[in-house]
Amino acid sequence: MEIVGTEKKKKMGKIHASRMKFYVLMFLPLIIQFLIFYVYLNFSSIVLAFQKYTKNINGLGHTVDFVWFKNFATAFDFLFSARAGEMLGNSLILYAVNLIIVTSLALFFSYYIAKKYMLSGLFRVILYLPTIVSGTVMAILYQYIVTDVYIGIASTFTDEVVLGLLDSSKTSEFLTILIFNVWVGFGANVMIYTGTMSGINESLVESAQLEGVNSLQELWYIYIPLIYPTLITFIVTGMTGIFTNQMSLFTFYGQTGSNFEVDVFGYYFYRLTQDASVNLYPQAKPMYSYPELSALGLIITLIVAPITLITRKLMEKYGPSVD
Amino acid sequence: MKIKKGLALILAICSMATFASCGFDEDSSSNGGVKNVYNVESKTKTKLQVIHFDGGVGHIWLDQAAERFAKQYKDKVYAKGKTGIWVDFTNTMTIDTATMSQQDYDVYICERFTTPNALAQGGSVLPLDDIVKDETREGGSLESKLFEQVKGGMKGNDGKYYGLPHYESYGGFSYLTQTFDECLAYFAAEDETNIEEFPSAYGTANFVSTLEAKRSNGPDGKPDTEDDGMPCSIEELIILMDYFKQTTPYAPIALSGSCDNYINYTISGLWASLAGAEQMRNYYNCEGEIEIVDGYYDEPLFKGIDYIKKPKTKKVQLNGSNGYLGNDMVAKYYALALFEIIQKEGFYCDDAYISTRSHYDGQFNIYLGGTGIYKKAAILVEASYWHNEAKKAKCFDQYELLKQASADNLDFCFMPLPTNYYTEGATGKDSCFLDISQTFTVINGNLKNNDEEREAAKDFVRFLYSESELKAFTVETGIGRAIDYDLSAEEEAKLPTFYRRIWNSRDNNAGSNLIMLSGTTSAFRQVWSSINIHLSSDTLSPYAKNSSPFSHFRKQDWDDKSGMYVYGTKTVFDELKITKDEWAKIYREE
Repeated sequence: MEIVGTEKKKKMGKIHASRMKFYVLMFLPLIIQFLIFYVYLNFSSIVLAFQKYTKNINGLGHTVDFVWFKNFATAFDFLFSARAGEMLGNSLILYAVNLIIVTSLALFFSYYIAKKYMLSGLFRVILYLPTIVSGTVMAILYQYIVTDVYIGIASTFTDEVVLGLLDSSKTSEFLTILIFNVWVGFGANVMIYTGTMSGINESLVESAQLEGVNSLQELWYIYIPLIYPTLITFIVTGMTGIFTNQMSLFTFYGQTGSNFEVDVFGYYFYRLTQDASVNLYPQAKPMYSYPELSALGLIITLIVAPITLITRKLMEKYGPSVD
Repeated sequence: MKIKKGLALILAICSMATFASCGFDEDSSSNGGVKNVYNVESKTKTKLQVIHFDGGVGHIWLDQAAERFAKQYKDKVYAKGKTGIWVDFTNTMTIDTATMSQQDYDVYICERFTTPNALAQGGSVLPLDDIVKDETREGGSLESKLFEQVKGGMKGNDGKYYGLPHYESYGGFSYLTQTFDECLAYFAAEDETNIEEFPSAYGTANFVSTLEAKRSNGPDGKPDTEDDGMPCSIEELIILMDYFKQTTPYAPIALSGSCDNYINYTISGLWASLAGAEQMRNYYNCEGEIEIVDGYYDEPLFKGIDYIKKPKTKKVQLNGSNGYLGNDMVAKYYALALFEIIQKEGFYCDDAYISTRSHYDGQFNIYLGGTGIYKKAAILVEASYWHNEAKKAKCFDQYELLKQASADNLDFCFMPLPTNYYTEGATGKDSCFLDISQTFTVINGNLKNNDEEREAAKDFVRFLYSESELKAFTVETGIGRAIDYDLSAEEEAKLPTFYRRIWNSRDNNAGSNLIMLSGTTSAFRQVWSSINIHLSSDTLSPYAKNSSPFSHFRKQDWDDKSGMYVYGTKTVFDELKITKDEWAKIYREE
């Protein structure tokens, strides 16, 4: 009996070892990737924030100095500048529009589709279409609609020179881009909410209907509480995107910037990080060198991380309950 | 079956439409349509990988040169078991030089986004001294042939050469001679009687009333030269624009709506042309005399332009530590002012405000104006490479298709830019050209221990910079390089008139009227990236990187107190200044 037990243990041990090997092999690439692209990258970025690279004048290479918080001072100056304020404002408007208008409408549309009301299948396709088509294609298409097509139509009503909606004023440009973001982002919201709503137990809904709830009450008391975790994810990821979302501006304008300088952090940072071989060294204009940008990145993380975590906690604590 | 055939037909028509449309790239078989015989892939040959900035100049010459190179070196053994060489090209507008050491490319032909100096400092490229100082080179060593004004930019801070100059482009205005002839848009000589007086809000000028009438001396101040009849001053240029606006069906200025930052090209060109070659070299070197803005008078800049103040000026001696004053140059102020005037006086063609109009569309305005969606315009804001780019993109085929006429008859001209601010007291100055392309060739530093590819790369670079290839490049593209070489009359005759005129205005043997991103001083070596002048340089990008003054000049916010627009010339000029504190960040005394 004992021999059988030992052999069994050995066999189990072998199975265990080979499983371990499998797990290790499965996780190794992920761990390596995590170490390189997260740990190392962030570590070197944090170190960079405290450094200054100076080109050697009479020889190749450069000298690296530890400059304590000098780069942070430059970064703070930028963060408190009017330009940064304007960019933050634009991002917040986009976030608010997404939160209030897009999310509300998406919830209603998703509910409509999940309940399989009339033409719900058609609506699903129409709403999701912009998400299937490449963002660049959509942007080009949209650009022509709000420019050439608009000019063509508007010119028939007036003898004045008509400019496109992206080209006539800063307000018009911003609103036009905002509408594009709503249009493109709407489909993804609907798709995910619909998917989550479809998973809701039918018997729960039926029992509520037996108790006499109307459609609005059904949405408010059953559907929204049950999809609340998804809602939180959207709200929280949207918040983290305030400093990274580029508002599709690159798709519209490439590296040159918008016609009326509509800007957001994501787009601005992208443009700043060009010219890699040059930007390692200090530039005359502030916020162009990599160490300064690294410092700015750290500051932004320190601002956004606690806000995001607190928001999440609060939403989880005070959000609607299915009870 | 019928549906399939129908779909196939639709696809075929769509494909044809694509080919006919503008923007179609060079012949995909490259080599100008000639099939390669020697430069073909083979495992028994050494493979050389070359990445090339595929901008407006294209790669036909490069493909042809590679074929000639492969033929010449067909028997050379770079590694055991391999005989001969073949060159594999990657033509792209996005060259990543930040990670060169991890890339397989051996030779890089890059544009302005970095420089040999920056790459050398980072240890990314190999020194080229053996190529540049090779006395056995036919026609003399490259070092003896390189223009003095380009050498500094090709070196690392250790004094060695790390790059070689590729092509040049200059920012400015271009026009179609036929349009100017049709409108008689040439200033008349003072003693000419066949004139048409044009009283403008900006001053009165006499234009010729016949094409035979004697024209004014133009920007160079000399009679019987190529620039006769052209505006000698900014003041005259404004009158010329008004002349087009008031008396002809042409809008004065064409600008691509999607590339409105191209005004930076022309601002660069005007800055150099007004300041002159010497001041511009002093600017890059941060050493020597320049003229700067030193306050403002309470009087308008020009007659009829009361929203821009005339600057007080003074001459200063740059000495490195005050190099930041270079951005206060008077010529830059006037160049910026011209573009505010173009904006506020309504000199742009309406199409300039349509952001879907590409650079090709902007070009169409001056030779396809009045056809289809394109409005007529007289003068194009572009860099000198545009003609080659349009040819490469087969845009002139569009002209032939729509106009049923040969595009060979289109006589384009790169406008000699004004060299004076005001007409009264104007003195002639030779034209000068500021290079805004800043292209160069380097060899990847990761070949240091790779004998096979390093030697192949060096041979290729040597070959590209041989006398015959330098000439072949210019004959194919029409564009010059900062190296002393001549074209025979026969070769020159092959250039389009647009480029032939530039070639003849340019000092092809010493480059005395060329301004390249280069300098010999310690200050230049330290600060060049902050004082660089090109399309998206900080010196021309107010408020944000890669921007241009265009959007600011569009704003109509008026300041009663100063009597100027809030975002006018002065504001933009001040915003572009480098302060003493900012200078201290990038410059240190040795």
